[in-house]
Amino acid sequence: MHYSEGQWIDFVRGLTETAAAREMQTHLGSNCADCQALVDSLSVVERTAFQDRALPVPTAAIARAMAIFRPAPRVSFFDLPRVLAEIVFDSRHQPLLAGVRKMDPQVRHVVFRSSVLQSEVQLEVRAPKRILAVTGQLSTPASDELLAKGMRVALTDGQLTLAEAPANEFGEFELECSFQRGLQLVAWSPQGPEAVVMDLDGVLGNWKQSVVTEDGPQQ
Amino acid sequence: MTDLASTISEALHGAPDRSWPDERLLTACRNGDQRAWEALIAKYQSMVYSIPYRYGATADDAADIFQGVWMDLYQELPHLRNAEALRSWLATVAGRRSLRWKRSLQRRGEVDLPDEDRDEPENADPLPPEAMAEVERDQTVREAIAGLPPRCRELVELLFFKDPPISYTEAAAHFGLATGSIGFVRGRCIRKLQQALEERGLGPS
Repeated sequence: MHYSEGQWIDFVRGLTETAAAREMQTHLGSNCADCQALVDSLSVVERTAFQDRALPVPTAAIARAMAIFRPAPRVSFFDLPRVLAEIVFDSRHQPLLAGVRKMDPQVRHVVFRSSVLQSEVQLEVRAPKRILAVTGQLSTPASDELLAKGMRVALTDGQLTLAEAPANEFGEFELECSFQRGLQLVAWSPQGPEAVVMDLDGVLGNWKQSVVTEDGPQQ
Repeated sequence: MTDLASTISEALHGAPDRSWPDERLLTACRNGDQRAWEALIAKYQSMVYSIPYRYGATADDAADIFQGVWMDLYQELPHLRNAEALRSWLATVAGRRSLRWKRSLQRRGEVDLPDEDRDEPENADPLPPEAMAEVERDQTVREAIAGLPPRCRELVELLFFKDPPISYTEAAAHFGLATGSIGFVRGRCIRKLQQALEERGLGPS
């Protein structure tokens, strides 16, 4: 006869009555490999649990440790030297596939590159409120260190920050703001060394008119 | 301002949790996420707190050393390069702080240090290899449990870490189960736990 997991848990915790524990020990001695494997695993857990039960971390000590954390004041890209990224791909300038009459005018794919990072960006205008949604992924060809440190991205009109967010650990981000003139996408690490500026205005320049035409008159 | 990237990430992966890999928790901390910091503490609190006791610290001194270790980590957050080494970094810092505490007692004549501790340079590995192996093994067990599905994690913690121990009737009531059903859930969770331990090199000998 085998014993249940519950009985073995009580056994390794020393909660089994002496007579029953002796019988269980005899069962283990009879070379029951399954029960022995289970007891080995449970004993490993019990060894750790025994220590943690004996040394519970005081709630006050945990609270003090948690209170240490103060999110650092965010370094703005306005504080960093800025470099302009070049456009290395723009879906608008790609020939249409054979048989395709027209591309979706609301969506554009653009790739920017600077000396420190590359950014693949999808730009989408969402009607009817004319919201520009920017989703993308940053990559750092030379080193992953920048991404590991945590990068931030922002949409700006050159004077005001219209939207800002952290990129996740894979460099992915999403931002949105109203579709307007003079937009720039900026990516930077709070540790520097520089903020990379991606000029969306140049990309969106001619596009605005076609999007406006599709959506109705611009305000 | 929007923070859609973190909202999307949270929808996909859930809020920061002690089951997250260290690299993800550290990145989230650097991005200012308080919950990631709390998850880091939840993940390593038992390990960090246990080390001063190996040096004979009292509860008050252990709590001071515990806080010092987290202050060190907070200051090092921007500079920590190797997230995979976080566990041994924390153990080493806790050991050094404990040794420093013990030396301060010795200077005040309150304790006599063994010769090997007296001769240790300040930057030596403060824990002997066998003690470090125990610390690592205990932490591996905690992480194996933390990586279980939430219900199994909770059940295993109830069954092993609760002091005084709870009965299976109480455990069943905790999960809103009939007493007869807890055996099935427990069996499934223990098998997952065995698997998690094996994956981390802690299978049956």
